[in-house]
Amino acid sequence: MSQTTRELITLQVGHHANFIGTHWWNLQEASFIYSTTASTDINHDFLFREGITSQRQETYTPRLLAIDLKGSLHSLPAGGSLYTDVRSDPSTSEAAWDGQVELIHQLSQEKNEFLRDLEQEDAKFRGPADEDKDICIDDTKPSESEATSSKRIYDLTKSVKVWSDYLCPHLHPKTIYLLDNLKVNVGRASANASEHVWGFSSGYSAFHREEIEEEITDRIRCLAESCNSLQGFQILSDIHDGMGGIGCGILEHLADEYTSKDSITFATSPPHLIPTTGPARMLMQASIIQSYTEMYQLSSMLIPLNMRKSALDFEAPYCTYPHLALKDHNAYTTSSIMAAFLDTISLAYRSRSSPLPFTSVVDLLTPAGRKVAGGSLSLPLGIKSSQSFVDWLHQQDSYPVSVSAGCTHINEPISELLTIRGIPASGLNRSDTKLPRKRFSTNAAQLYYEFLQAARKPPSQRLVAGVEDPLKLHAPFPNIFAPSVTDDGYIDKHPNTSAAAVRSVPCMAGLHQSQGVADLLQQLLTSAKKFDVMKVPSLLEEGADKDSWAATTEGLQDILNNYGANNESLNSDDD
Amino acid sequence: MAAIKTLNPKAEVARAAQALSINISGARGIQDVLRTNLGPKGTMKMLVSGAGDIKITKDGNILLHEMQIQHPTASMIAKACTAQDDVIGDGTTSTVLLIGELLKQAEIQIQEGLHPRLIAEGFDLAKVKAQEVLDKVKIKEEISRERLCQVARTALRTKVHSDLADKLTEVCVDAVLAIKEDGKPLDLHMVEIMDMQHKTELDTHLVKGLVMDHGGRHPDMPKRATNAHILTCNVSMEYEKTEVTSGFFYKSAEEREKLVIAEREFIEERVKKVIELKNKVCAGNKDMFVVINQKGIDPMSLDMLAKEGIMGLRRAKRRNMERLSLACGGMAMNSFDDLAPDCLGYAGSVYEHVLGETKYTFVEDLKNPHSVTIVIRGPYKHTLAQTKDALRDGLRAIKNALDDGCLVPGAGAFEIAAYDALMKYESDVKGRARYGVRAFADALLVIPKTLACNSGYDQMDSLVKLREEFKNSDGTPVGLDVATGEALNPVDFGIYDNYCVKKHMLDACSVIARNLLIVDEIMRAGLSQLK
Repeated sequence: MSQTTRELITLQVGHHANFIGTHWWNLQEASFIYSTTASTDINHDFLFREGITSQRQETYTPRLLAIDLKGSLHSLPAGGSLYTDVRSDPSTSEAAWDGQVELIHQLSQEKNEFLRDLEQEDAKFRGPADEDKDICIDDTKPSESEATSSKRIYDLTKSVKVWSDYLCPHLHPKTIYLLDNLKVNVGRASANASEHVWGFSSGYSAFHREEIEEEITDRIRCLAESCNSLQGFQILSDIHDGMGGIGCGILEHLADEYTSKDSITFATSPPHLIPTTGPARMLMQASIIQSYTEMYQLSSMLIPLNMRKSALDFEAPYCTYPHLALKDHNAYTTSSIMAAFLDTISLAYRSRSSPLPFTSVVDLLTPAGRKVAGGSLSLPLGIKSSQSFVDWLHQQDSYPVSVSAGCTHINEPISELLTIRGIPASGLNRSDTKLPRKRFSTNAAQLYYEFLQAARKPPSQRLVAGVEDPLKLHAPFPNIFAPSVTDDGYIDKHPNTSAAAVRSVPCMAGLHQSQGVADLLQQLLTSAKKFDVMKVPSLLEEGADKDSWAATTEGLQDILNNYGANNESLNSDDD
Repeated sequence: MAAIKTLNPKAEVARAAQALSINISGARGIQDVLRTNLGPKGTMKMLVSGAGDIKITKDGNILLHEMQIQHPTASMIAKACTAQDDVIGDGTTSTVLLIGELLKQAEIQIQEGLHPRLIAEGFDLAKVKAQEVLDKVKIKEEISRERLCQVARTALRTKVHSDLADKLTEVCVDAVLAIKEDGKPLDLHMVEIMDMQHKTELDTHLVKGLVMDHGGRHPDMPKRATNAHILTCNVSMEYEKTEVTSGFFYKSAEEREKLVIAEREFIEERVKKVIELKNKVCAGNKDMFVVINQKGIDPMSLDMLAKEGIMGLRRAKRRNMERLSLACGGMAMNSFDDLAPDCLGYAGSVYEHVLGETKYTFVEDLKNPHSVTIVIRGPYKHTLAQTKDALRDGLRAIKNALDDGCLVPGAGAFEIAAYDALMKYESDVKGRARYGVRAFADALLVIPKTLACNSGYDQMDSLVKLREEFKNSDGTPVGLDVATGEALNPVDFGIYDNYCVKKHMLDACSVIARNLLIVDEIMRAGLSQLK
C-alpha cells in the first residue's frame, strides 16, 4: 500500500466527553475485521497504535488521552489491565518499609453484568498456554465463545454510572489521567460530592499547576512521538464546567508546541444535566460561553455537540431523530448517538481507500475564519427494506437532524462535508428499475453528491465521502432504535415483534457551515451580554470580574463578525 | 434562630459551641488518621482502591490526597497542607498533628470558660516566641556534603526502609551537588526523574547525564554512539502543511503533486544541512552524530539520517532541551540557517535501552554535566511511585537546607526546647492570653509524644525523660532515640530537619487553628443543596 498512515491523536477531556468517547471506541472495535478474507474500508491505524507489553504480547490500543476527575472510574484501574495484571491480593511485603504496614482496602466497586462477561472472555486469552496470542488483532477466526458477549443483549441503561462501566477496548496504561480533586479547586466544599460545580477559570488555572500541565503535556508528547506523520488532534472536551478550562489549556499547548497540526474540537455538554440552583446554572452558562470564546481562538475548527436544541438553555427540548426511540435521555444513551456521529463523520479522514487529509477537512469547512461548524446525523439512514438507495434519494422524506445544539443546516449551507456509510454496491439500485446508469463503477457517495448538487442550490463547496462498512453495533451500544428498524438497519413498515437487536445500520453524518451556526453564536452573544458577572459569587471567586467578562463578550462578538452581514439585523431584533 | 433561617428555611446552621465542636472534631479526625504516620517508625499505609489500584505511602500530603475527605473542616486543613507541600515539600503530617492538638488543647481551656478569641491571641504570642526559639536552636554553619546527607537521610528514612533510604540519600545529594552552580538559584527541574519498571528498587541510580524515554524510530539507525556530537534543535523535519494557515487549492492532481514535491524538497534541505554539519565535524575521525529534535522527524528524513549513520530522536520533552544544553553543552537551535560546530554538545556515549515497547536513550560520559537524571527502578508500578515520592522529598529537603543555609536538630528536639521556653514565657504574658500560650506549648509536645508512641514506647515516660535530660543539658538539643526510647543528642546522630519546614509549620498551624477557633457560626445554604 503506497499510502502512509497519517495518525490522529484523540484527547477526551471531561466526564461527558469520555462517555461519548467510550461509545466511539466501542463502535470502532466493533468494526474490526479479524478474518483475512473479509475487508474493511476503514483504516484503524489512524487512530490506533500497535505496542508490545513486557510479556511480549502485542497490543493495539487507541492513540488516546482521557482526562477525568479522580473517582470517576469505579471498577477500572487507572493503568488498565493490559500491561499489568490486576492482582486481587496485594501483599504488604511489597511496600518498601521495614516497620508496620497497614493495608487499607477501599470498597470494591460492583461490576455490572457486561463487564463481568468481558472479563471472563479476557481471562481465556490470558491463560499461560497462549501467551503469544495477541488480544486485539487476532487473525484467527473468533471462537464460538468469544461472540457471546457481543451477541447477548444487555440492558445497561440503568446500571451504567460512569463511562468505564461499558468500555470494551483495553487502554494503554498511559491513557487515563485523573485529576486530583484537592489540587483542582472543585467549587466549594459541598456535602453532595457527586455534584462538582467548578467553572472555566478554575479549570484553566488547574491545568497550569505545574505537575498537572507537565504530566498532560508529556503524555501528549509520548503519543506524538510514536506517530510517523501526525496530522492533528481531535479533542472532545466538556465545556460546561472546569474541564472546558483544562481543554483550553491543552489547546493552548497544542497551538504552541504543534504549530502546524490541526485540531478539531468537539465541544460536548451533557444534555441530561440540569442544574437546580441559580448560581450553578449561571456558572455553567458562563463556562460554556467562556469555553466557546477561548476554544474558538485556539482550535482549527470547533464543533458543538449537544442533544438539546439550545446551547445555553438546559431545559430546551431534545432534538428528535426519526426511527429512534429514546426512553430516557441519560448520559449513556445520548452519548451513543453522538458517538455514532463521530464515528461516521470521521470516516472522511480515516477511510482506507481515499482518506481526505485532515487539513482539507478543516479548510473546507472553515471559510473566511468561520471556525464553528455544525454537525448533523441520520441514524439510521431511513431506507426501507424494499427500497434501493436511488429510490430512497428520490422519495427522501427525512433530513439529517442536528447534533450541534439544534442548529439547522437545511438552508443554504456555505460548505459541507457529508459521509455516508453502509450502502453496499448491490443496494444502490434495484435490478428491476430502469434508471439510466451514467457510470458502472459508481458508489453511494457519488450518487448522493450528484443528487444533492442537482436537487438544491449547491453550496460553494460540498464533499461527499463514503464507505461500504455500515455502523456495526455490538453490546454495549444501547438499544435506542424504534421497533420499525430491522436488525440490519432498514426500516420495515411492519415492526418485527421479536425485537432482535439491531446489528448494523447504514447512516450518514454531515458537517456544515451555515447560517444556523451564526444563529447559535448570536444566541450565545445575546446571553453573554445580558449576563451579569457580579451576581455570580462562584465566578467572582474564580477571579472573573466585569472587565474580563467584557473581554469574553468582545471575543464572542469578534467571532460573530466573521459570520458577516446578517449579524446587524439580528442585533436589532434583540433590542 | 439564625437570621438566615428566616430567608432560607432549608439552611443548616451551627452556632457557637456547636460550630466549634464541628471544627474540632474535623481537625482531630484528620489528626487521628495521620497520627500513626509520623517518624521513621510510623506505619506505612497501603491503599487498595476499589478497582485494584495500589498506592503505598506514608506521606501525609499524599495520604490526604488519596482520601476522599468529606468533612468541610478537614478538607480545609487538607488544602492548607497541600499548599505547604507545594512551597516546602515536607512537614504535612506534623502540621496536621499540630493543628489537631492545638484545637484539642484549646477545647480544654474553652470548657473552663475561656473565650476562644483570648486563646487565639495567646496562640499568636506563642507563635512569635516559638519562632524566636527556632532561630536560637538552628545550627548555622557551612553546609557540607555530610550535613546534606544527614538531612536527606532524616527525610528519606521516614518514607522508605533504611537500606533504600541510604541508597537514595547518596543519589539525591550527588544529584543536587552536580546541578548546583555557585551564585545561581538551585533549579530542581534540572534533575530529571525517570522510572523503569525493571529489577528492584535498590537498583535505582544516578545517571550523570540525561535519560529520555524515546529512541530512534528507524531500524537502521545506530543504537549506540561513542564520542557523540549532539545537535539539539527545535526545527520541524516532517512534511506537513505550511505553518501559515492557508489552504491549498489545486486545479489538477499534477499540480497537487508538484506542491507536495516542492514542500518535500524544503524539508530535505533542512536534513541536508544537518548532514553537512555532521560531515564537517566527523570527517576523518570516528566520532558519531546525534540529533535530538523537539519537533517531529518523518520517516523519509529519518531514512536520510540513518543512511549517514546519524542517530535521530524526535519529539523530545521541552524541558529536556534546556537540560541537554546544560548537560552536554552546545545550544538548542531554532533554525538551521546558522549551524556551526560550536552549537553542538558532546557526550562520551549515547545508547539505547529497550524495555518492552519503550526505548530509553541514555546520554552519558559528559564533561561537566549541570543536569542529571535519577533512574528509578522497581518491580511494580506502586513501588516506583513510592520511590519517586520519596526521592522528591529528599531532593526538596536538600534544596531547603541549601536555601536556608542552616538546619534544625530533629527527633523532636525543637519542640522540647520550644516547650521549655514557652512555659517560662507564660508567666511574662499578662492577662488570660497566657492560657493560650500554655495551650500552644502543650500542643507542641504532640510531636515527640507521637514519635515515642509510634516507636512503641510509653509516650509520657519518654516525655519525662526528655524534659529531664533537657533541663540538665544546658542548652544542647535533646531528641528522642526511636531505637531505645531514651534521650539523645540529634546533632551527634546526624538527625536534622529543615529550618523552613519548621517555620512554615508554626505559621500554618497557628493561623489555621486560630481561624477555626474564632468561627462561631457555620452555615450551609444554597450550592450544597443541589440535588
